[in-house]
Amino acid sequence: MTLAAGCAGVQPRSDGPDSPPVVDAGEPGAADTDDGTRSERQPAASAPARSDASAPTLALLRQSERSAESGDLAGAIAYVERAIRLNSRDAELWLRLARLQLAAERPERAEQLAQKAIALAGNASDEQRAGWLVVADALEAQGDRDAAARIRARWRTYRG
Amino acid sequence: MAERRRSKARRKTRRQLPRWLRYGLLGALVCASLAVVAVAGYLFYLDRTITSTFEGRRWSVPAVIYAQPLELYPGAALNLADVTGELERLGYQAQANPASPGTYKRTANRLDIHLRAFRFMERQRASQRVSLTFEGGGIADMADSNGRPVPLVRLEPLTIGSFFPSHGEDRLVLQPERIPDLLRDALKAVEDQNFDDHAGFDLTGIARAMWVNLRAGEIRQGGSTLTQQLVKSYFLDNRRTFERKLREVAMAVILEARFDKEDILNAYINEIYLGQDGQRAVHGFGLGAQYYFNKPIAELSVDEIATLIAVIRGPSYYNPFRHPERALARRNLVLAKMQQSALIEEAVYERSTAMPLKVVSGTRSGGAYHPAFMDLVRKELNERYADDDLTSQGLRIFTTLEPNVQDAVEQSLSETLIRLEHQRDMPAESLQGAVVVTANQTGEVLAVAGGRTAGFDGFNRVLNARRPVGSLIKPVVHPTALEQGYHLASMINDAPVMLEQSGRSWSPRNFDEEVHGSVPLVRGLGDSLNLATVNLGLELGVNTVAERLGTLTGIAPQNRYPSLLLGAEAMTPLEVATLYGTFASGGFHMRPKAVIAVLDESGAPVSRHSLDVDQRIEPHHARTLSRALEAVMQQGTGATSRFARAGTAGKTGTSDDFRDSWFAGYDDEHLSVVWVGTDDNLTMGLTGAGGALKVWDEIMTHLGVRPLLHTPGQRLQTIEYDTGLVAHDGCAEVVELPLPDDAALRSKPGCGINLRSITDRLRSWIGND
Repeated sequence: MTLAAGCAGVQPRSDGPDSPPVVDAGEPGAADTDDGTRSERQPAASAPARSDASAPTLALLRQSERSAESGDLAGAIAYVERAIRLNSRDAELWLRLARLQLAAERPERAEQLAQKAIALAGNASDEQRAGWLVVADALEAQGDRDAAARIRARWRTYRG
Repeated sequence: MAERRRSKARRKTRRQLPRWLRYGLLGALVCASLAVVAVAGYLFYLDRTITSTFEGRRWSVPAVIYAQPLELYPGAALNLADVTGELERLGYQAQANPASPGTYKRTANRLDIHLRAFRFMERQRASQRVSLTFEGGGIADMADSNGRPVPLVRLEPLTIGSFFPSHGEDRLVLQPERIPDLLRDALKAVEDQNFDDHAGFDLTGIARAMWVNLRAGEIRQGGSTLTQQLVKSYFLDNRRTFERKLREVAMAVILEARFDKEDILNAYINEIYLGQDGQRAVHGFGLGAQYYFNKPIAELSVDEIATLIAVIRGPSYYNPFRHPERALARRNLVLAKMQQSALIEEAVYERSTAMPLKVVSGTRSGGAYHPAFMDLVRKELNERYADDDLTSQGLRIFTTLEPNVQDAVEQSLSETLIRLEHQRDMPAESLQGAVVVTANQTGEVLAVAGGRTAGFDGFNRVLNARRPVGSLIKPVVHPTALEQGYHLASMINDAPVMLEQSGRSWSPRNFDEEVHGSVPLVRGLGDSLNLATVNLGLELGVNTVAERLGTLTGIAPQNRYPSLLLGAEAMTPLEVATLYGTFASGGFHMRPKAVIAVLDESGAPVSRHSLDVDQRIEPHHARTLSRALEAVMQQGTGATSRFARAGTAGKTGTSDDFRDSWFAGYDDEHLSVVWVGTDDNLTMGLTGAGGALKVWDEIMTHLGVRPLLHTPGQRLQTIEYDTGLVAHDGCAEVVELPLPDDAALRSKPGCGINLRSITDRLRSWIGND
């Protein structure tokens, strides 16, 4: 269940159908196709959408999502890493990478990447919470249910 | 009865041949059959060896190594010249109408690029057109051919090398259709006139060679066929024994029997040894053209082709760099043979012999060959793969190298060393240096200079020069100190110590030979005070610090004596980059990484080396330490930097007797580690600030500084750098530091500052430092 949630955590953005065409970050002109239909398959407990990312980052994330949905996790990871190279202090990108690594059944790496996202989030509490919940998932995937439960309990009451 | 008859018959035979002859014949028969078996076995062995070697090399498609592609997007800080420069490096042609892939059109503030198709790591990109508009030093807009906005597009990556992972040799393999006819014909004319007819060896050729040599009284002609030379090149063995010669001939005959003339000639062109570039052997005409003339083989002129052919006979004897007169004479001989064989016309012959050698002097400029980075790629591949995994054909290796950063590093290092030698009246070329630049947050290696001469494949100091790091070691003490309750304004004791180390007494001194008494932690690091650091380190425990160094670098320190605290430990620049990478990334350890992905011929990933981090310092302690390293630049030993107050962090290091000058520094994007010293470990009188820091300044001037970002909302306290007292910049030299809320602070008299709270004041009274 955790793993499924981890995979699904890579959810599409709520970009409208008029988003710009993506060149070289996906099939030409295919970026603005079926976001709406895909969002129905997303569970509710996924990362918050964001609107502050730049156009190149958005283009890459959209392509990453498409790869993940077609089962190509390695490709999805490569796109997020490319986004990180353009903007390596973006906590949200590291968190996405953490979720993808969790989905790829590398929970130890995922845990560390989530810690990295938390460190970059600084005092931004929403991002911190999202990061800790991924850490909890990663710990659970490594068999440490107690630690996972403690983290979840601590952040459950949090209201941003 | 039958028994008796048979024995009778036997006796009869015995009578016919004397005993000795019978045994002799039998022996001879056995010997002969053994010899036949042995020769057959040997030939079989030779056949297997030469055939598999030839097949292996002939069908080998080497791994191709790519740099990082340039990403173009609106808002990118790339001007028209940057992008045009990269297009030129990629061989794009400027045209009035960029109708075909690989062309572009440039107008005042606009570029229309017809991108080539390329199979990137993630996917195939079709060729396509894109228009860029520039404004204010950056890309303002991008659009496709229909005018629709394009958020992101990349140029193809530069090819930075190719090698056979199985045997590590570098080749630029020429496919048969890319080999100029003149080269093929001239090779035959000069080296092996009967190539098209002989069966691997050439008796008339040998006779002719002997005749020429006899007449000349010296060895002028070798008489070896191209096929024999190819065999010789495969098994590089220069002993001139009869056995070896026989073996060579046998293998040549086998090759001729098994393969086409054309295949053999093509293999020869890609295999023959043409010279030595440092540790790298230059094999094949593809690489030879690159090495001697810095251009692809297709662009070589007749005289240049002749020079390459001239070199074959003795790459060191006819070395065009070292023995230009010999090389020139032999080149002209080659040109004469070309003309005699009607390969070139009289006029071309005349013009070509009048040409100088034109070899690119000593080192190649501008070429995209970065041997030091390639070493790192090879090292990483060797660590990650068994040899067998890398033998598949046509691997494509995507790396982290950023060509513009690499260029900046190579140029900055060589220019600064020349300047330093000049300023200090040192002999030219006496200094050496090494630089590695990584991306702060990912640990990806963007550039490597293994020595001062760019493109020279010699001793790679970034990987292999292990030198005492001096004061670069000092910040290793601080994470532990911060965890144990120290803060940057905690007072520590800069006072003399006397210690026993391996039976001898050791009493370190400060660089300025003075004792500074009680100083704030930030100044101990900033001014690189030895006594303050040793006292703090001893308090925390040398073993604890040694353990910490092990965690931060991933390498256990060699010594655990107090001198460790002052950097007696020797490290390579790459190891230092690992250490400072942890500081620059907010506490996350990353192995410096050069390879992003390895793909096979079909584009399927053999593996991807995705980002991997590991927290080794609590993020808020790491941020605090980074602030202290900023103070080093603002107030301390880094203050002479051009970028001391531009939002940078760093640390200088100098080893005993000024043998090693180190600097590790970062802004918000790039971490650089610079070492300057001499290969024979001589004292050269340069401190970290006087040598390595100057190189770093130059690099950052090229790259541009991006000031360090600080976590918003962090409360800062302004204190006097010298004393740790609360002050403001109207009354003291100050630094702004993140301090714990409960830090005990006192204010500087005469500054008119009230402390933050009653509790603070109470604490400062009690003075529980």
